Amino acid sequence: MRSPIACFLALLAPVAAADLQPLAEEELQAVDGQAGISLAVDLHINRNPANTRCSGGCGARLTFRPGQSDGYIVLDNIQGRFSFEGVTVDIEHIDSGFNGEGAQFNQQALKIGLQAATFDQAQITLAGSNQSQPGPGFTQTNLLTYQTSGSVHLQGNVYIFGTP
Amino acid sequence: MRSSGLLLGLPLLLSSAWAAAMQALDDIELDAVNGAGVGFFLDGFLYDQDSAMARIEGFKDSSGNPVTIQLEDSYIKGQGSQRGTLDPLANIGTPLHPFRLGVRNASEIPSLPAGTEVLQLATPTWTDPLNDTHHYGLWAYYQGCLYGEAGCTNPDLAVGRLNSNLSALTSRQTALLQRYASVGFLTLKQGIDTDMAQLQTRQQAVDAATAQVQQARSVMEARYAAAPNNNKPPLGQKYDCFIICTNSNIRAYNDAVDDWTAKNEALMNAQIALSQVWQTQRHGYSLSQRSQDYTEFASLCGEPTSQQPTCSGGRIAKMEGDRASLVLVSTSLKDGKTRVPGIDLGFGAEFSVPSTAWSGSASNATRGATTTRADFFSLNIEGFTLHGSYVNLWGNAAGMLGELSMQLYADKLILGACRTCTDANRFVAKNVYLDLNLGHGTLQPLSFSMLSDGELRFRLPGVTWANYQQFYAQVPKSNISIVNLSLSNVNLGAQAIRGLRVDYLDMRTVNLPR
Repeated sequence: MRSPIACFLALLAPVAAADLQPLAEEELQAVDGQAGISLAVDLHINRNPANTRCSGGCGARLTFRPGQSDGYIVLDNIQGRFSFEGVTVDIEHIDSGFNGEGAQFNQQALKIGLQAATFDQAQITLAGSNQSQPGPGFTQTNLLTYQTSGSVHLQGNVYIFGTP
Repeated sequence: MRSSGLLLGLPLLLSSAWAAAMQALDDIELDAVNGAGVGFFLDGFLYDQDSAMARIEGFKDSSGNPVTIQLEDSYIKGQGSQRGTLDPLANIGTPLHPFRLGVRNASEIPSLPAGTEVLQLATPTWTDPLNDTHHYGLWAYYQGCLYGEAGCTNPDLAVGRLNSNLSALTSRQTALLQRYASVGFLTLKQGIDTDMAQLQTRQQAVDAATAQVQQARSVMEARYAAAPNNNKPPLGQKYDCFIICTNSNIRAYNDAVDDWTAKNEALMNAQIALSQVWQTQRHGYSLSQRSQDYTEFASLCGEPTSQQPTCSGGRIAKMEGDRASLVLVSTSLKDGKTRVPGIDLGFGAEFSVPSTAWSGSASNATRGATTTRADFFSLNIEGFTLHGSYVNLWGNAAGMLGELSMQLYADKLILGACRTCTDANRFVAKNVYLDLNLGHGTLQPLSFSMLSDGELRFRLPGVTWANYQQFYAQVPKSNISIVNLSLSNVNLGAQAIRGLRVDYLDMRTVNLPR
């Protein structure tokens, strides 16, 4: 993994060096809210067969300890493929639209767009446990497991911005 | 490689975009940046499960077999989706009415203990009558039907219904005022208090007599057990010894029966004396009637503070306050204003459960074969909004604490247990409004913790002798109202729970052994 990234950066360096030129203040100010980028996010989380606590091996495990609790909320055995096609990330200056609210809003927001999502044997278990990582005396109560596979229609734009 | 390149590009692009907008802050501006948060909203949102498989596992039936719930046709769409069959997009929040996540402190939220800072997540909030769920939910309850449906296009129905209810209450108030006009309510209360003191004394006499009867019965039962079995009468009846009883156990038992009978008679007399107090006449009315009238008046108008009291509180004042909300909503609707559209959401679920066939009569049933039966359950919610809700979270030595206010409104909520039937065979609730308030930062913080065995626990500490006055004055109440609840086409009418408050709650999950 290290060498492909190094090659990629080495390839980019001379190209970038040849094209890069200092921008004036006015030009910099004009660089605002360009088209953004489009991403294809494909996340594979594999089970670890060496971890025999779950049938066939466990996937990823996230634990949260609320306040001074003795136990943990656990998102356990997360595994499978989570794929999001056509995700767009952009900085947009909202100054119109939204039934007239855009003009009043008149500020920048981070816009994340979604188009479709595909899952392949994806699953997640909600549980409560007495330890963050299984060790001696480990106890865990699995509340429920959600499994999904196939393509869903998931679209929309999430706008995120700072508020006073 | 592709995703690596894109990820490298992201910060470059973000930095150039921000660079143009970024400017140095001076000390004064920096000083003002305090507790700033994040706002977000969803525009043009749609989720449809389409052909994807989704299921929930982890449940077991009574025999310990796993129960799998297959989810189907789940969706979140804009209002008017006709239960997910159409694809209107949902707008959840707007630029000026976003979800807000940020830090708030006790100077902004009076219910918090001094010096406390909390993380607050607030849903989009509007202050106009149509989108303020407090106003609209109340109006929807009195309206009595789903606005816009056939026969429900007059927004003044709600005000009309409230006026009619208010008129009934006001006439009752007038009747009570007239009944005691020559007496005065303070004098009335004085008489009731005097009679109640006598009532209490006689109640104490009844309690004492009851204790004596119980004691006499215990003695009688013990002596009955010790008495000989020959010609033994039923408990409570004496042995017939002709002239004299020679057996000392029989004599003791017969004496105990006499004593128990006498004590019973004394108890009866005490009870008669007690009931006579309720008939005590003053101003031409019995204590029973006067007490009932006074309580009714206090409920209608608040506790009287003068001989000829006006309505300062109670149900009449509350209803007059409600009328102001109703007028605001109906006026807005008549002005042609509309509500911000909500969302539609729903799902179907199929799950398999064991089903055992039984034959024979109820008293002599024979167990047959157990097979697996597939059951269906569906939930659809139309026009759902969560405007004006919030949750405040903070922590201290006691753990994670919170305050929760949920303002849920839905035009329709439909529960079904059949896949192909119509609403005539479903549970349909219209104008569903849940104003749920749990926790008060100072007096009753909602605490959430995970126990050492991995179980969940929610607690709301109870009211105490030291804080009960503040508790009942400040801890928020909850209200639930549903209009036109119908079950398999049988209209159960309107259902409402108003002024619900949890005095104490300690709830935890338990993993049942299978």
